[in-house]
Amino acid sequence: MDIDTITEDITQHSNKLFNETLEVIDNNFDFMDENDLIEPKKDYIILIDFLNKTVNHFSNLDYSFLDDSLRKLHRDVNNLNKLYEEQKNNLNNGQELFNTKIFPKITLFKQIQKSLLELQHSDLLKTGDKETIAVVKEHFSQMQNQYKEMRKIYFELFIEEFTEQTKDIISSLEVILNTKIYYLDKFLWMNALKSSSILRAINATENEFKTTSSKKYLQIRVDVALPYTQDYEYLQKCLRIYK
Amino acid sequence: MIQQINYDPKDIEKFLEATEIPDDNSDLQILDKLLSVQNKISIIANIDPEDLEAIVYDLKFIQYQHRDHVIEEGDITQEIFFVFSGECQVFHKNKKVGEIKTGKTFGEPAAIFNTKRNATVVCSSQKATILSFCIDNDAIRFCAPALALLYKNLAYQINNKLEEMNENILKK
Repeated sequence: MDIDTITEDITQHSNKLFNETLEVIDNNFDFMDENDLIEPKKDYIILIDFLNKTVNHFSNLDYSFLDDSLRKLHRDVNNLNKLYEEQKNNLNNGQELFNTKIFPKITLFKQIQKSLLELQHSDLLKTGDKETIAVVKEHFSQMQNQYKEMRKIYFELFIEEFTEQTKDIISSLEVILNTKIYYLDKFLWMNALKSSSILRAINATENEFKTTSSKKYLQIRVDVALPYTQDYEYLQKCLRIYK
Repeated sequence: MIQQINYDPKDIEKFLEATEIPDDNSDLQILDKLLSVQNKISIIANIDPEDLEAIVYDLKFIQYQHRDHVIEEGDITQEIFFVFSGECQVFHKNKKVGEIKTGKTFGEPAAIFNTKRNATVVCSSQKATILSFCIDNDAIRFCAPALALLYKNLAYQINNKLEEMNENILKK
């Protein structure tokens, strides 16, 4: 069996692992292209926890804040983030995925396993002829070694392909997620601005928050956070996005 | 199973409407100043302005008076400084070791490598206007080429300083 055939076999099987995710990525890029969405250079992904907390907080203050469109975008961002985290975790799970999802489906191994089983229960072993038994055992051992060697080759090729593909997926998801978080950030403040109860609760007059943004809200949160705590450091990091 | 969201045209309209809300642009003027002198600051020269905007933070324009300390030896701070106008003097262990004139930058290595400041910088003119900014290394995800260029510029600058020192030693 040549290396190209093995690579092709591996690609076919690993593509099945990624099909669903690749479809999500394609759909999202199409969506971004069709609507000319901005792809920010700044890293908005870090804001996700802050924005989730803000959305929850504001929707508790005013039920009309979370309209259908914002709800969709919020859910979409969190679904994408879940997928993104799964893919990052997958990078360390290559061996497990190979053992559970790829290896059992490769025809070659099924055939070798069948042959090994047949040899193990071969009538030739019952003949009592030492020479015949030795030949069968030798054949069995050779086949077993071949099986191990092939498994190793398949695994190495799979890991190479899998790592490369997963890294590409992660980079694509980062671009998509960053764009959608950017819009979530803008959108939530557009709705918050319309709510007097939210503005009142965060001690801002509508005038003060005319150009409202996460920046001002983050500054308020930083001012009341305890310095050198994890929360404080996180808010400071988020604040960097807005300079 | 990955749940995909279907957006209606009215959702898209709202997304686009949201981006029309003006940003808080109080820092944009300082950013414009930084961009206007970008090519004079060797470590950020040649970086795409859009990338530069994404990798800098905490931009400040500060006016110092005579004898004000800009940097204190031993401090761990992350700003890089550019002298817009005025002059400064550099002290190491209370001994004057150099001068910084208008149009020069200082403070890059400690800012980039997160080490202690190895000298004190004091305003020596009547007044000095200094622009300071920090580099966000966390911006690597979307601005890796810009950060790579910044480090390349820094390496080039350090190399120049070493060559200058070697020449001085040889002259002596």
